[in-house]
Amino acid sequence: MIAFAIETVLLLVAASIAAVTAILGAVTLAMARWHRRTRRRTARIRDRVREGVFERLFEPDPGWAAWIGGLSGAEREQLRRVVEAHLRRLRGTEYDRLRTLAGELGIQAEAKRDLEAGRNRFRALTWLALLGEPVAVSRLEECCTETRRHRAGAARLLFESGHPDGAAVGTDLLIGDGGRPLSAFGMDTLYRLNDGGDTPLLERIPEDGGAWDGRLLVQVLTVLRYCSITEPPEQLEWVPDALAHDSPQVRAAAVGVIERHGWRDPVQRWIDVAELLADPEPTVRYDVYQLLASWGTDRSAAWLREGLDAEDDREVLAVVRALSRHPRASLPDPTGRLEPFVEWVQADAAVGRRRERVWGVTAAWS
Amino acid sequence: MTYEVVAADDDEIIRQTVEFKLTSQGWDVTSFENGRECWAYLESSASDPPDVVVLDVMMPGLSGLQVLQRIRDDESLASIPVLLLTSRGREEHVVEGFDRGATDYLTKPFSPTELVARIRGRLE
Repeated sequence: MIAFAIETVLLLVAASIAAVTAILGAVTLAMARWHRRTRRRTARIRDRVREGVFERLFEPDPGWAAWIGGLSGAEREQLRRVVEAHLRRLRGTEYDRLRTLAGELGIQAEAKRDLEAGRNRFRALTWLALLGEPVAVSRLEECCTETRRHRAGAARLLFESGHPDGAAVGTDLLIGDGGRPLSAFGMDTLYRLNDGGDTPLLERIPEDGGAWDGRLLVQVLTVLRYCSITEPPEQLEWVPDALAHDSPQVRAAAVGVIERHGWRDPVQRWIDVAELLADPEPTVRYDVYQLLASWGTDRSAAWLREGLDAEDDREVLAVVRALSRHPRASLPDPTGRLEPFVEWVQADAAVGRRRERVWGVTAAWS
Repeated sequence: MTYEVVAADDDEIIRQTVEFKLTSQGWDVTSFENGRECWAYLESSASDPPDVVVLDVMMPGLSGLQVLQRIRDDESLASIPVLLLTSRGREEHVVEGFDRGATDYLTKPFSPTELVARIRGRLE
């Protein structure tokens, strides 16, 4: 009797599990089909809308208002996505026409309202930056300094809207976050703000760099390495201090700055190359070899040749590689100990392998 | 005048924009989403090469610079004008592009109207 009851209960449990599984499976399949259908429908709408944009975008008078007046809600939603995607990629006449289209869709006004009300702030900043729509600095400082993301969004807006103080204010927004490291978006924005023209970073590093997190310092130096600097060389007088920093990542990033901007005679005079070549960290020394290659002087070639006597094979390979890039040096004779290194570098060059060093970035993001 | 233009970019939106803009000029446009397909097409059309090639620098498979190199190394294609589309801040791509024989370049974000003007400038 008891066995029969247990058997019945087990059968009921099994039947229930099977029923629930079947129902869940059916619901999952139905939802998947619904999602697929929605995605296809959305894609069809987007293609249709994009086609409509292209038909008008290259016309002197696109007639946006009349066109969007006849669009459904779903089409308008997809149109906003299409406008956003194209604003990111286009400039010139077509960009200006897309901007007008965004105005017809009420995007600028909506973004400004959102910013004012503190709603969807990052989204609003993104739209305003894409549209190059200026917003008062005081407003941005008031509403957008709460998080790293908002600071970067506000700084990007200052850059994109061409604000006269954009470089200085935007740089302060980005690096004024308690010395904490930047996001990739923040780094990119910092580069844009400091590239060419004003380079406020050159003032901020000696003033505040000592208080920053090492990762931020590496990021800032990395950005500076890629910026075109029009300021006088004296603005780089702080570099020797960075070259003596405790962190090897910071030292390597500072070497990167010198590699890019050290073509100016005064900068080269401030650098103690012998000291750099004696750095205890191999990766810093490898970067110094690349630095010497980029300087391209007879003296830098002589320093590199001295490095061929290094005990460590990886070090010798780094020196041979640097010599291959040096405009006034030739590769050493491929004899004796140097033979495999020279062959390696020649084989690398033969297949056109590009060995781009991104100074300090790995360290900064790790 | 109808020109035949070959364009390659892995960004669908840029590809479509270039295609639409150049087609609106009455030109024939053949576009590809990677360098390998683009090169295969160019190689197969060596007997009747296109008038101009527009290449994105950063593409999967073969990069724009590699396709450019192959074009310049191929006797029947070597004289085709090649315009590069490069990203802002990648000055080294511009330098390397000119080293390999690029005719001109445009920086992304780019102006389709300017692209047309640059192509016309090379062909007319």
